[in-house]
Amino acid sequence: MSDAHVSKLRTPLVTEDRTYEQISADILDSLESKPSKNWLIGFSISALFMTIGFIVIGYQVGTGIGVWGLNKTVGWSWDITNFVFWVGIGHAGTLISAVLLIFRQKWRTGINRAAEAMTIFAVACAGLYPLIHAGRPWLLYWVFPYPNTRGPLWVNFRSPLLWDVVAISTYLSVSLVFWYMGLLPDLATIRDRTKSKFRKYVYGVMSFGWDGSNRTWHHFEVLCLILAGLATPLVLSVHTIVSMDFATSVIPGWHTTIFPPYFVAGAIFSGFAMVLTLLILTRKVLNWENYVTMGHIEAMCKVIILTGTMVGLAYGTEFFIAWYSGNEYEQYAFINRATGPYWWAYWSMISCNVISPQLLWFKKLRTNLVFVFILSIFVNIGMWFERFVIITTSLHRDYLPSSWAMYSPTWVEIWTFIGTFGLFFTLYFLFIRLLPGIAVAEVKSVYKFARKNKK
Amino acid sequence: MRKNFVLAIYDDEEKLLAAAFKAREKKYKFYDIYTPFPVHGLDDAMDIKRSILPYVTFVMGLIGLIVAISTQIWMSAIDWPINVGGKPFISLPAFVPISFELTVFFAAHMTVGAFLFMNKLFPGKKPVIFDSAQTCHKFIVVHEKDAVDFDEVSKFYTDNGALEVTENSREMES
Amino acid sequence: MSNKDIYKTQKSEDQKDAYWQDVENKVLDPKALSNEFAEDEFDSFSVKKTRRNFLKIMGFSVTALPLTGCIKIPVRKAVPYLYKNDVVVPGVANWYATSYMGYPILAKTREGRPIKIEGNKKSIVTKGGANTQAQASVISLYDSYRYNSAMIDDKKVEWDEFDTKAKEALAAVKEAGKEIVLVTGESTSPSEIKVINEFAKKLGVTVVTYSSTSNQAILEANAQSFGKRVYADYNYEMADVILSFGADFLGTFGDDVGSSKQYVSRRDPKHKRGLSKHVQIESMMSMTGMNADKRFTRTLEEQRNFVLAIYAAVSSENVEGIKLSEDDKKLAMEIAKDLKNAGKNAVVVSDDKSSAVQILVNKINSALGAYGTTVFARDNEFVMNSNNSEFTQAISKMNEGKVGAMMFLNVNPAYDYKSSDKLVSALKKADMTMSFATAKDETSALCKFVAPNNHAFETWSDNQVNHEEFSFTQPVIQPLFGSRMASETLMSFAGISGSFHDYMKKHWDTKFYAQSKKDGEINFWNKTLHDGVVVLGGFSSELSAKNVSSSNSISKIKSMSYPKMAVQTYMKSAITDGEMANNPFLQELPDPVTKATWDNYVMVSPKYANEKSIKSGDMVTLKGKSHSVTIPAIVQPGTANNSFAVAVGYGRKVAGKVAKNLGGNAFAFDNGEEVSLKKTGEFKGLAQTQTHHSMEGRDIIRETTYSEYLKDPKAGNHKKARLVNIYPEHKKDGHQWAMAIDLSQCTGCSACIVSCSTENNVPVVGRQEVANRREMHWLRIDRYYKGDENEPEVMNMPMLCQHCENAPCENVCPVLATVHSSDGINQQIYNRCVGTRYCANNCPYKVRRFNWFNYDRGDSMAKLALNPDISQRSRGVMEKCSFCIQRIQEGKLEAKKERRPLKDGDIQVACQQSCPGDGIVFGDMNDPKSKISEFLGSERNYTVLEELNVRPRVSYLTKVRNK
Repeated sequence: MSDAHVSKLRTPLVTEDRTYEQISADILDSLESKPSKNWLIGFSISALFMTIGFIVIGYQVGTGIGVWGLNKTVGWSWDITNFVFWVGIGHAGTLISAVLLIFRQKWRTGINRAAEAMTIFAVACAGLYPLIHAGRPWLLYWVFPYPNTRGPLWVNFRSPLLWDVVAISTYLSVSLVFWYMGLLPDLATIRDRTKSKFRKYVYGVMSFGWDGSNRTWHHFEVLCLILAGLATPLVLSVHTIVSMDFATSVIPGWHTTIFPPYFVAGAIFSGFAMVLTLLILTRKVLNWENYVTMGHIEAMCKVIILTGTMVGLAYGTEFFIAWYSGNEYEQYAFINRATGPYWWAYWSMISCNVISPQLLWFKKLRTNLVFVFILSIFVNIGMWFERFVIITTSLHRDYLPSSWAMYSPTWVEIWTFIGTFGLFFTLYFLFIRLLPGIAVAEVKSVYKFARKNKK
Repeated sequence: MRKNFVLAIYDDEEKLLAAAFKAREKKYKFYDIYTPFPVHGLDDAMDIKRSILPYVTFVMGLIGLIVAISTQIWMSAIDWPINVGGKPFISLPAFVPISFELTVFFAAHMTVGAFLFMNKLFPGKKPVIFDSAQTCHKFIVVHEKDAVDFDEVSKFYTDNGALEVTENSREMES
Repeated sequence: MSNKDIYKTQKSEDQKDAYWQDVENKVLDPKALSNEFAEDEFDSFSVKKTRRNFLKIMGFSVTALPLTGCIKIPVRKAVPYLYKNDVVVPGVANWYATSYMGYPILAKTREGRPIKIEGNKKSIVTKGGANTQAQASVISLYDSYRYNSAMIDDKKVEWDEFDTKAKEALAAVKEAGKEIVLVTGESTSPSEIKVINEFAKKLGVTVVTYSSTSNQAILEANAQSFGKRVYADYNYEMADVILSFGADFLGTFGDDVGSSKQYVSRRDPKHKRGLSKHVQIESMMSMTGMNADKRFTRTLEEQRNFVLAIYAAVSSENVEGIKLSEDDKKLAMEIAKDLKNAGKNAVVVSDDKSSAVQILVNKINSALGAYGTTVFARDNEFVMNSNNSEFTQAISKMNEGKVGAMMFLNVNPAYDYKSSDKLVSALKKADMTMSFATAKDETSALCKFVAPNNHAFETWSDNQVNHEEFSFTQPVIQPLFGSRMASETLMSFAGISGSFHDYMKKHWDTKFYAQSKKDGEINFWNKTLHDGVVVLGGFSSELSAKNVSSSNSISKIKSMSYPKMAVQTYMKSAITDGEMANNPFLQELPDPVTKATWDNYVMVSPKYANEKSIKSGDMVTLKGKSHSVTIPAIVQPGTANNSFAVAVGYGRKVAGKVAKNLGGNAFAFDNGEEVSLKKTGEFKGLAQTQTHHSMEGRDIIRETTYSEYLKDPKAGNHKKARLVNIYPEHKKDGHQWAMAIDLSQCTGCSACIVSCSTENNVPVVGRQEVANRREMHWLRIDRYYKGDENEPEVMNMPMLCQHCENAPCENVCPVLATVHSSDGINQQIYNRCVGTRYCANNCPYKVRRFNWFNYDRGDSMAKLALNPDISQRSRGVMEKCSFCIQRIQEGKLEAKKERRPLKDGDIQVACQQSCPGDGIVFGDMNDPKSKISEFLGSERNYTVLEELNVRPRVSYLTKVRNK
């Protein structure tokens, strides 16, 4: 197909001419060849941090939550900040795979697999925090309304934390099956390509005996649409509920009706930033330039501009409402954010989340990989600060000045956070080693897009 | 039981699609067509009925919703009514989030279950592989040998751009 | 972990001793204890006991007590009751009337262990109040740092061996023709004083009374004005105008509980004599100063000139050259006018350490005619008032070798004497030294003989509470350690046979029964013992003020010179002179003024701090003539710019784990001594429970002035939030518990906090954890400053769980670990809590406390002080005020047993009970006749953060100031 005609108007989603066999080869090369040096280094570093993280968590659970820097006034800080941070990152994956599928955005095929994987790993990291932030983690199964011998004793369905539990577990499980169903055809491809008996067996089991029968394909596509249709409202609801952890409280700075949309926008914002961070690296390391193209990166940059601006709008609205409400506590909470002892956190948030994304309006910048990469990290930092600002600055000075207090993290909190990054990247490295990081079948299906064969 | 097949192997979905429609006119009865990725149109060529999965989803979602609402009401208002923050025992607005999540939960998982069941997909299932490339870059039209006249179809497919037309015989677990 | 070792007891040599160690746990096992009591029932005049029971026990105990008192019989095994005794019923508390530091109290014992102290309502002085020390005393009782046997040269000896050796030593001293000196603390116990005097007569001992914290100037002044070294009693209830010169009479100046009761009764605008007017002129912010209607920050010099000015105005005697600014002169005139208008219903108190000033104060009071209405200078034989100059002489005599033996009773001069080094060197010259300390202290460490005294709860004694009231001290538990009543030690030295109990009884029969020949000696004695207090008039006569000339006092005052920067030492209301410094409850109690715990510090004025750029927590060295301490500084509004203030009672060198090397010893500073202050550059920080001191103009504490109030009782309380409920409220029938706190009545004394902590087993977390803002107190007192930081207005607000009807904490708990009870209590279910801390975040009042760790409850000893009705909270669990649910339950059951409906006042929660000001009211708001209903109906009633519509069950009454 070397003599193919390439559209002038729209660049193909796969930039170079390839046969279907080559496509499989290019993508699956990463798991069919020996691990590269870069991969080994990256993997071992992340694994190391993950291990440290788990040791630190062990120490904390063994000694008591007191090893964190929290106090009677600030009962949550890094723990929930990181929880929301990771959940937020997760959302981009679902969004790319689900929403873009519904809108038939063909360009998603290059990135959705990696993005979905990222979702699952991020949610796994997020899920860790509600567990370890509790004073008695070993009793956390009490949040499930299981029939028990303690007389009629159920759970509190009015508690946003309980909503959280249900939302997060639903989200995790649904994303997981969605992702795995998508993997089936590619697993079958690997199974049929590999020579080694062992791999054949393993991938054979994992691929559920997929054989590419068109009858199956028919149901498969319907299933994907249905799951996409379910996942889309789900992802919105999950972050809405996360935001309700704060919105339903009475604490000035938390008690805000704008939170659901504000949080969802923030989540997509940070999520896309994370996808960029990962893919810019991965496509370099695994030479996927043909499949994860400039087009993809620009598209994601545009989403970041949009959501970044929405977030900025939300910040502004919060301030306006605080002033407009005439509620002195609300007003103080926001003045304190911008000018109080944690002013630096607030302003790093503003500069990272509102100002920096605006640079992406310039095509020169958003096509400059190095710049986009750095910017994507800035956005992630900014979004972390957003959660820190919301949680900590609202708590540390609320209604009665007598109990105003300051908070600063201990080494335990810091290392736990680093540990979750270790966990996340360890999983990601394993993923690109053992599973197709790009949806092979889907890429083939869009290969012909904007490319006509002369006959 | 042992079955014999006629296979027409393609390497390009467009040729395959054209051939498939011609074959439909010729009333050749397809056993199945194996493709590395979904080729839109083949469904019509093969006259596959619309999937029933959407109905499964709807019903299961409904069940999830009912289960969620009734459980919450029963637990917090009937089995153990207790004053929590002065809120009424049945605080419906507060029950919305969980009801929604459980609806999605049921719908999604049940649909996936139904999908796997309908297509007999499960870990350890033996796939029907006529050519190891059928999941990678080859497109294979399959007829049952007794359903068609071999010479005729082989001529037909070679005329319609098949790479090759072969016979194949294998054990099918039906 | 810092929180782990705060309670750990010092395992000093004497405690490693095998004999005591291996039986310790058995003896200390509560069950074993209760059985031990069961076997030898000693006196137990439970308030509820009938006369029959009492007599039955009495017969045995009188003989049994001396035995049980002196001989320790370790319990090897728990023996079941042979005959079920009717005194100790497991699970039912016995109450004993006794007293602590001379103040009548009730001791609550469970299975024979004292676990809670409450005031004795029968007392006409304390009227059921109890101060922080009394509240915390149970903790000291079980302090395993106490001596656990008689000691000679730091070696344990049996008591009889001790007695013979000690007697020989004393005899030897006599032979050598040297003097024996007994140094005792001030005492108000008739019988003890009698023993001391007899002992002194028998052995020809010179008795010297020494006190590190008493105001010698007052004694001297009174000696000159009345010819007797006596203190004055005050009656603040009769006082319409109170002028105090740095006298912390609600805290550490005289009888805090009694004074608070009297004072606070006049802070109620409904009082028939109206609101009293309290003016405080002081150079540091004192607890009393916080409560003043008008408080003026003035230097010592200015204060003394004020005294001159006011004396001049009141006595209409012409005093020249008063060094005061024009405004201050005017001010003095105004105050003098108020005083004169009030006449005999005015009172001037001063804690000035100059007798010249005190003489003038006396003259002002007599000029006003205050003696007899608000001030009483009484003569009586039952007090031993300190005379530190005698002690100084004794030391110099000892240095010359004239004194051969020195004994220390209830004093610790090696720690708190100004020039303790002199004492130390002198003691080396003495042939015989002896201390009666209950626990090893700086003095007893230097003594050859140590005869450990019993803790108050193991002791027989009697006290004169004020000029007419007497109280009894009776043992409520067997001596836990091998100690012995000091009075019995003295008796044995003096060769007086029998027990001190008999001795005391005899004394009472002869001396006091004679006063009130009512229903027979035995009944008189029993009744007194049962009630704990008895009022006997006629033992003291009014002293007539001699006419001392004012002129030389005035000239003395004028001639006084003042350093550029002076230090003022003061006592913290909890730690006072440091004798109870090893008590973690007192150490962790936030100081009413600074809200700092676990430390003493140098108070500097904000202005000075600015100039020298000092911030709270900076380590500073305060250097005086002969002495210097290095402790943190604290920037304290209301401190005079030329003076520093340091609390005494810290810097113990020989003490238990808790107190040892905590803070710096300030006893060596003279009051008003010239000092210099230097920053060390190190920053230690302070363990404060409150670090933001402004109310930020928020509507939290509502207040008004008396004049406003008289015009409109609702003054300052007109704000009313419009509240709407979007759903129906839950039924509110049956009992509905509620609490109201009158902010005018709260002096901030913090007795309620200690009471709450002992009642509810609230853990002590230690300095570091308090600094981490993790103190566990269920009840805190918020203290806010208003206005000029040199002369701020101070407001106190006790803050505890508000038991909101629409509690935000309840909605957010995922596991229903905090829910609402049908009688309106916000309940925390400890063993259901998983510790998400969401409830605490969502609490607008921030009153929920989280167990960040498993907090150490101390050794097997300390654990005996725990209230068995309250479960221990493990780590990871949230806790908070429960409205003393256990007391509510007990009250209900009592009523049920007696087949009667619950009466108002049947149930008293811990904080309410201990409040010296009766500022806290608790009860059933559905009972229209209850006190709480009356408070809820008051025009001054309001709830904090009402606009949140959480509907607190705890409401407050506006503060009324008489400005």
